[in-house]
Amino acid sequence: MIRTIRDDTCLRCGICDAVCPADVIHTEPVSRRPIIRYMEHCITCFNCEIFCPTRSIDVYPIVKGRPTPW
Amino acid sequence: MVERPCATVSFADPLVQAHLAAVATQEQRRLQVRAVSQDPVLTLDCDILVIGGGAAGLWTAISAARHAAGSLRIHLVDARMVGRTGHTAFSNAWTIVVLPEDDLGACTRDIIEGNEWMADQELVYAVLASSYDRLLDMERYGLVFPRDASGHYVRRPTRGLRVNKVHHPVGGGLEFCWRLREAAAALGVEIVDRVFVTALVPAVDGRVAGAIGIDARTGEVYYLRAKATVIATNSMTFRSGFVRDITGTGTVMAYDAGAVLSNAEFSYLRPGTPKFYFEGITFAIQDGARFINRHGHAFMPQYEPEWGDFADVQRIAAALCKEKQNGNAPIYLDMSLVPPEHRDFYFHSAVKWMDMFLSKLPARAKIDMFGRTQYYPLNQMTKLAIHTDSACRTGVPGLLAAGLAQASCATHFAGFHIGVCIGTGWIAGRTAVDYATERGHGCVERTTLLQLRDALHRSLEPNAAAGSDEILRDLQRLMFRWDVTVLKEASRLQRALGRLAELRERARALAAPDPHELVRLKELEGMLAAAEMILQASRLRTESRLSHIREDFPERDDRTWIKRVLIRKEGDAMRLSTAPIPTPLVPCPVSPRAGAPGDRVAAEREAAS
Repeated sequence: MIRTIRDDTCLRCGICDAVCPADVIHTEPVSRRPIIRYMEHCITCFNCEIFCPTRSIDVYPIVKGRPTPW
Repeated sequence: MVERPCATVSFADPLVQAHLAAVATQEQRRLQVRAVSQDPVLTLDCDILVIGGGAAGLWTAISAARHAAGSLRIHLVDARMVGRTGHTAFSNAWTIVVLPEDDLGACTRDIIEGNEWMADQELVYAVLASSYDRLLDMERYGLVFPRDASGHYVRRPTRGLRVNKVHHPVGGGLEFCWRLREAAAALGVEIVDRVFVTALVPAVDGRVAGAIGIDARTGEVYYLRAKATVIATNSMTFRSGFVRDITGTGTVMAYDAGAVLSNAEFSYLRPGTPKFYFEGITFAIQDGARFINRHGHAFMPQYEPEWGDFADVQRIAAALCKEKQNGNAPIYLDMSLVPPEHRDFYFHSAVKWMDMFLSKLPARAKIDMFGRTQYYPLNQMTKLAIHTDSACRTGVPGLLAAGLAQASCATHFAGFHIGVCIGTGWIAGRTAVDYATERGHGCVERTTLLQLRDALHRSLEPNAAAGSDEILRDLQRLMFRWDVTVLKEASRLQRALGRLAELRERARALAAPDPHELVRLKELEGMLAAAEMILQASRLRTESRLSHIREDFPERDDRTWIKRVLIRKEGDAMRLSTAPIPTPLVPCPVSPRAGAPGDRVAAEREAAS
């Protein structure tokens, strides 16, 4: 699940928002600052971290809420 | 402190620049549409609309562009970013390819027998027959499929198949999908990111004339007008696969538009652990790992005398259920027999995101992986899909289906998922061009569009509370119980239908405060409809076959059940029937028997909608 976006190193490029397949990260319209809008819907796919050009994003390898059959 | 893996791109990287250009292009197109549209909803006009931006959608669009050779306008639409979402993007992109020196007949038989005859034989043959040409296409598009020193492709065997081999591109699914996105764009395909399609649009003559969708960020409603529409939205899932952005709602949209669905009683079962992603089970077993029960007994040979732990994953999942039923759970994957010098291998993956996941796992979890982590039978995705002919046409004029949204097989093994996406995408694109070339646009009444738009707007209430997640969790608890949808039995299925009706009633009361929740709500509605189809079809098939395991009908019955369970909408009712599966290429060794109990079951049953 996505944990943090470092504000001091973020370039405001918008790639994390574009590549998120779960609509978790939203870019603020004026500041172009990315915010984690729906953290609980993160699918831990690492797209944002993989494509961030300044290594500003940290996704933690935890999987929550997966159903178990028993 | 979690170790941070190396970043994989820099700002100057052409890949980053390509992403930024893609975003800018999308925004520019939206502005143009807003400026010129005179229709009751914003209209994007094309000849062929492809819905779904994974392997099947990309290949359908590429095929349509190549067959049309510039004569038709093609749109490829996805709820997120085409090429960066979907199962393929997050997979290793293994794909079965039949090379010229291979035996095409043997490879076809391998898939059909592996499907226990639950396959469209002509389609399987066509997909395999074209697979080498598509491999060459993909190499032209810049994908690299490794070769050995003598120039031969590096290939791997795959679980559950004896003859077919898989090829694996460098860079896995992310590279695979992005190269195809670029190829599609270069061929003139117009890519429409971030429009979530909610319904197909009927023309006055009954054909499908495109789709209506919502901008997943702004909430603007779009009419995607088309002569031919191809559904390529994957199988239905309940957000429980290894990538949980897939819901496959295109299948239910097609059902609502009059298409017939099939394969609802089958699913992709596999053993797994909810604690972490681990896709290396096959390799681990080859390295000596074995499934054991609470007594430390390696039980697979008693269920699968021929294959043991090397059996296909759904057979392992079934064995896990039976161990649970016999009081032998918990189940573990005993990796103590994996040689210590091999263990580091399991903390790396050729799939980029999975490699990051594994590299960042805390030490405790890494120890657990080789220790006592419980394994369960996980229902990764359903096989509910759209029934078509071998040209990918549904029975509804103007509507086609491709990839896993098309019901070619009841099981796909590792490698034929993407193989089918590529092959049926190619076929669907070609058929769509034929259809769109011969016809004009269907006439759509203005009131129809307004009704569809208003239905979407009614679901949006700024003050509503987001409630779909809670119902989804309850739906998952219902649909993934080992004794409901894995090890099935008539009375348990019936009780599950009662519980499902309660969930559907709760969902009817929901509204969405914003477009994000609206998308999730619409996906939930699709999943609830799919759940009923799965439970009803599971009741109807009174035998056990592949992933459909009936405790009360434990034997496979080839005499009566070389048939599909078909699901269609009649008015507001869900109607189930059966139809024989043609076996023109590989006949089933046991001939169907006239007048058998299954034929009586075959009489159409109506289920309450």
